Amino acid sequence: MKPAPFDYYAPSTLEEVLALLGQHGDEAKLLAGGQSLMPLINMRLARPAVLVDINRLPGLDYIREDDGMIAIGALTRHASVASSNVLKKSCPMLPHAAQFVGDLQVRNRGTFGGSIAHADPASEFCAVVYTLGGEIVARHAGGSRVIPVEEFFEAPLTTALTPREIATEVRVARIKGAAWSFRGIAPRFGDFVLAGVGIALDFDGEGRCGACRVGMFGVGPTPLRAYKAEQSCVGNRLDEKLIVELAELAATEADPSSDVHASAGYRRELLRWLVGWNLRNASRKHQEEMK
Amino acid sequence: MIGERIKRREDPRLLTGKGQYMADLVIHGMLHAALLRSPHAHARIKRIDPSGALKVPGAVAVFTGADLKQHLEPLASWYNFAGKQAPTQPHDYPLAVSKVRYMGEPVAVVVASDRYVAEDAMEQIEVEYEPLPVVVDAEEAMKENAPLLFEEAGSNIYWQGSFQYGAVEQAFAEADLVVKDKLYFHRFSSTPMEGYAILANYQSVDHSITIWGNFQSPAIFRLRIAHSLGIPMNRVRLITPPDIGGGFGLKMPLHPWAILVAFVSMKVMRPVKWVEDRLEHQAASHHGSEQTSYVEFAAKKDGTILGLRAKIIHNAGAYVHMPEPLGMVEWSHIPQGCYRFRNVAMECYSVLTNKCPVAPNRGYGRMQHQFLIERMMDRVAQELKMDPVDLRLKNFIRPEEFPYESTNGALYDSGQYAACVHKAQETLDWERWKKEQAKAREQGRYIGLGLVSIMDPGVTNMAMVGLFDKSLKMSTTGEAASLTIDPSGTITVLTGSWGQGHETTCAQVVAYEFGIPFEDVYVVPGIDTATHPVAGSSGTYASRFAAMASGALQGAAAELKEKMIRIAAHLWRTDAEKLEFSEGKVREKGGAGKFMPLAQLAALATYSPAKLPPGVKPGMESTFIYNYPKANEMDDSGRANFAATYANVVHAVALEVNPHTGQYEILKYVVVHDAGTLINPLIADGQVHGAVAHSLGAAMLEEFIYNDEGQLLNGSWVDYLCPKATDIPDIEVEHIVTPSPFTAYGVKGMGEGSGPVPALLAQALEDALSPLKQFRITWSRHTPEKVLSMLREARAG
Amino acid sequence: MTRHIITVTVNGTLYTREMDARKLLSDFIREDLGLTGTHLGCEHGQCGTCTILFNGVSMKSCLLLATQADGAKIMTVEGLAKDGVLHPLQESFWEHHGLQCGFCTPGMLMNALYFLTVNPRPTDLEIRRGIAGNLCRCTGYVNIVKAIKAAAEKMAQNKGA
Ligand SMILES: Cc1cc2nc3c(=O)[nH]c(=O)nc-3n(C[C@H](O)[C@H](O)[C@H](O)COP(=O)(O)OP(=O)(O)OC[C@H]3O[C@@H](n4cnc5c(N)ncnc54)[C@H](O)[C@@H]3O)c2cc1C
Ligand code: FES
Ligand code: FES
Repeated sequence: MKPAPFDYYAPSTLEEVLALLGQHGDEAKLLAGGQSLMPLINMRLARPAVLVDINRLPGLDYIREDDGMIAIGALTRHASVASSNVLKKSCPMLPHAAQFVGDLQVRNRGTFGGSIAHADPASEFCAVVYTLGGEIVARHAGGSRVIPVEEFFEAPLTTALTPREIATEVRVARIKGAAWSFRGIAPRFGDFVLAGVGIALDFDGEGRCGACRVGMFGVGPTPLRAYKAEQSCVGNRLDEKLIVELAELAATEADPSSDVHASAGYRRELLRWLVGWNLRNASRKHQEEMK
Repeated sequence: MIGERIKRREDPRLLTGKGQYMADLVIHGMLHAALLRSPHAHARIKRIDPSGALKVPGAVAVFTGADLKQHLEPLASWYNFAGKQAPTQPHDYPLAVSKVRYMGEPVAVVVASDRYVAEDAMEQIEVEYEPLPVVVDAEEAMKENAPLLFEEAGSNIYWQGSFQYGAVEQAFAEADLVVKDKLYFHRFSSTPMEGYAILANYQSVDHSITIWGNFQSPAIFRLRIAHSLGIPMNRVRLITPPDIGGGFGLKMPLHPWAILVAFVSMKVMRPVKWVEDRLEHQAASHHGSEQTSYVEFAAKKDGTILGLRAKIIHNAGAYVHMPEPLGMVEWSHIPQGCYRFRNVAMECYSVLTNKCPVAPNRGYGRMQHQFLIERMMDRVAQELKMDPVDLRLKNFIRPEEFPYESTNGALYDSGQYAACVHKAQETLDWERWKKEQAKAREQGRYIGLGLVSIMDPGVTNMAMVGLFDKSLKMSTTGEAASLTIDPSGTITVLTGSWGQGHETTCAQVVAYEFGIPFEDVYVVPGIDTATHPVAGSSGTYASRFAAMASGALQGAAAELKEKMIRIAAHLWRTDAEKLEFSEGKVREKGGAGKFMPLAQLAALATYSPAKLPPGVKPGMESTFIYNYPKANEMDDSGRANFAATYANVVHAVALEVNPHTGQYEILKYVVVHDAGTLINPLIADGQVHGAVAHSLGAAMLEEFIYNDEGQLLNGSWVDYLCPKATDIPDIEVEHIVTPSPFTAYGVKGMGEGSGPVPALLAQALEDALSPLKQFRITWSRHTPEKVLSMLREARAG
Repeated sequence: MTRHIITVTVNGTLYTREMDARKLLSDFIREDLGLTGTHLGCEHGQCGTCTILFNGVSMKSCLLLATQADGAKIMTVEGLAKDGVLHPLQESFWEHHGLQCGFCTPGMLMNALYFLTVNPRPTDLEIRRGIAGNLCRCTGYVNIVKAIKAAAEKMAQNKGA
């Protein structure tokens, strides 16, 4: 199991990266942490003619708060996401989710940008950004554009990025309300999930739900939102009856498929339970906060 | 010394990166091989054009099955050994010839300057396949109109046989209760961290070949490798390096690719190395065996088991590589487990399918049988509404009945099965968990307890091959050891097999025998058939090491001690009877008088042969081949003592099921083990941990999943899930020591006694869910998804 | 295929070597530098046997290209013992029988070494999660967890002293 031949470049400026991408188009692949790309290259399932290593680009490893959003540089390692104080304060769902991404070694090398660009439907980071809302900053030789996360994920491992683009930054919305919850179920600790759910909930002074976001992952070709469930939530008290209803509703909005690890039906059942669990958990956290 | 928790001698090199595994070996001028493998499970090779490979710069040579067929003998089987044709597949070569029969079967080999280039060249080989109908299910493969793997054989049934011990018909006629089930034991393997690897170096000048490989039993397969290569056996030298990255039985079978790499070296006249990569290992190395069983148990109302009748169908995969089909009859070690019933009928089928061939995997063949017995014990308990533990206690062979000859002639050496059960319950804190369980049930939570009790037989008596061919009259369990005492008084040890911890345990035994410091004994790491002594069944398999090597070491030590006493008696002109060997010297009995240290005696025997008594040979070396004294030949009714030692193990567990997801968590896990005298309890505990982890992995996570087209769907470690540290609980191990009356020091083989873990979890899961419904789990891998579907079924009423 | 010259420090020694773009760092360490303590159990990032420290943090060397190590400081298992004295982690693995075949051991040690720098006083569960990227087929992890825990205590004591 050894890689097929390729040419390798490790530019130290974004301009060079963009020039190489411009020149080689879909013959070229960006190499970030390599935690998804290298296994494919080793197995010769990916055979890029040109590898453009972006690890030597300066200034893409940062996490900072920018007008209401948190901006994360594409080369920020998972380990930095896991330990970031900015995130723990303003977007704690991300560092929480980071604990479940692969393992220590993977988190030491894998990058946030790579994770988003790789677009695994069961990726924790894709799920969090999709759930909370955000955007991806993409650069190409002619300029740049900002892609809303709702338009970013197109299919498993497929995004709106063109082969000539690089994602330089991912922006994710802060969690404003107090209540959030995130949990997935994987075959083993750190594996990609069979099903996962992230929830962010605002409550009004009366304990009724305000804005509500229910994200689902591992249960469709891309991360998903349970929009119907979200709508049914708004303005209501989260009692047990409503929770069961919302879980049912969310389960109908998922689109899981079967593989060696689980059937679509099982994934849907896990999802149903996870929606309920996360709603209860968020609500409990909110109540604790109130005390 | 024996029984001490001595830190392992091999560890410093392994901890500092100085281990020597196969992949680390380098010979000047060596080439690297890569194997092109079939993407199809069953297809005719219509055309194969390897010429493209040689156009890749750095590629040196390429060979296909046709080349092998022209120059090699097909792989040997037990039958060839008896001078007969195997029932089917006489055309088994290390590369497919005209047809491929499983996904991943090699069709061509390329050698090149390095592995990268070899893989580039491999991609340039053109093969045109004509896909054929595929059969992956053994029962389907037995049907009349099933696609045939070997058309010339006319059937996919490689071998079938029936065995009857005791009065089976009568037992079933007299039974108050007969329970029946169809059980399925799934396909997995312990996938060692290191794959196979071979380095072969042919010398044309004397037509000899040296093959390095991570062989678990070079001694057994040397003959067969020589046979295929057409090189006299004495010119085939096999070397196992000091370190093997896990074998678990999978590196034991006849190694087709050792023959392949050797062949390539002969052709290109250069050393050639091949290291199996992970994808190759998962798809096409060897898997553990998969078995479907139709079982009936006969019992009395009071719970006395009367007999067992089983039809077992063994999915052997596409080829039968020696020691297969032995897995099919491994139940003969323990036909009735730990229990007293004496009526057993077994009808066995070894069936070829378009899956990867099978091989020994920790608990070879016995695991499947133990699963069957323990599951059926639970079924009887359910039917009689008896406590499953009480049912076992009732049926155990009693301590006073040992040595106990089982119905098929297996001679169980010793044991205290009930004591092990009690100790396990105590260690688990059974009563406390019962209370927790009751409390949990009130809260709608599901805690389950389980306890199984099984045999962990050690050592295979090769008489067993008689079960599939009566004319094969073997009786070896043998192991060889040689000891040399040099004139400085240090001792060098060579043994005929090699495995984890042996450097330490052998040194312990020898130091004990001579009463000398542990440091004075050096055990040469690895095996070299040119220098190491071997016996008929030398090898690291069937937990044979402790029992057999210690016998050989003890035998060799006894010879040397006696020799030294004779020499001293001669020098001192006294009677040998008046002398003894103790604490590294020959001395007058009691120790108060004259003495002579072993260094002096060894120096004398080496340099001054004229001083030796008549009839005593110069030098201080002894090679001893030990055969287990109770290893007999099989008689005409299929009876023999098919193993040597009969350790037993009790496993107990408490687990909790998540009723919403079907996941379950092991709350506590206990093993009570009786392997007789333990040479090194530190190492013994480690063996138990490892064995449990393998079986827990199998029971929870691991399975090779094929679709109907014979495609392996989880061929990488992304999808084939080995347990991580977060999946295995802390495992508490307790020992009870009932020495074997028949072996050196009373040791028994150990380390494979975790076969029934799938049955244990099944029992505990049934127990957990019993307030909802009485389930009958008939399968061996318990995924959360299956558990959840049971819960759903129970809720639906 | 492009070729590259790199300069890399491995276990304190500076090496300059030339290689093909596709040469994996794991193969480079094993074949070009002859440091065969770093093992390859899967070559696709799942087993952790190839774990090394790359600029001080643990990574799987089969998922890195050798060229990426240009200018880096690498530590492999061979760099763990100093002047023939075993590192407390090595001692502890030995003492607690935390290894059997030893194939996973170098990667396990390197990852544990890094893990203890970020979590010097771990619980059993934290240890298990910390080494979840390292498979071991022999030990059932029981003694590995014990060994890491004991080493952590020893190392904390040494620091305190
Ligand atoms: C053992 C193991 C377990 C894992 N478990 C999980 C898990 O549980 N959950 C999870 O989410 N992930 C998991 N991963 C994947 C891991 O998180 C990866 O790090 C991540 O998916 C990809 O990030 P990377 O930086 O490694 O990207 P790379 O592997 O370098 O690249 C991945 C893809 O993204 C492209 N790319 C990279 N960066 C950019 C960019 N800036 N702009 C445009 N395209 C880019 C590359 O060209 C490539 O196609 C696991 C990986 C391993 C090896
Ligand atoms: S060899 Fe690198 S993770 Fe397995
Ligand atoms: S000790 Fe063998 S794999 Fe860990």
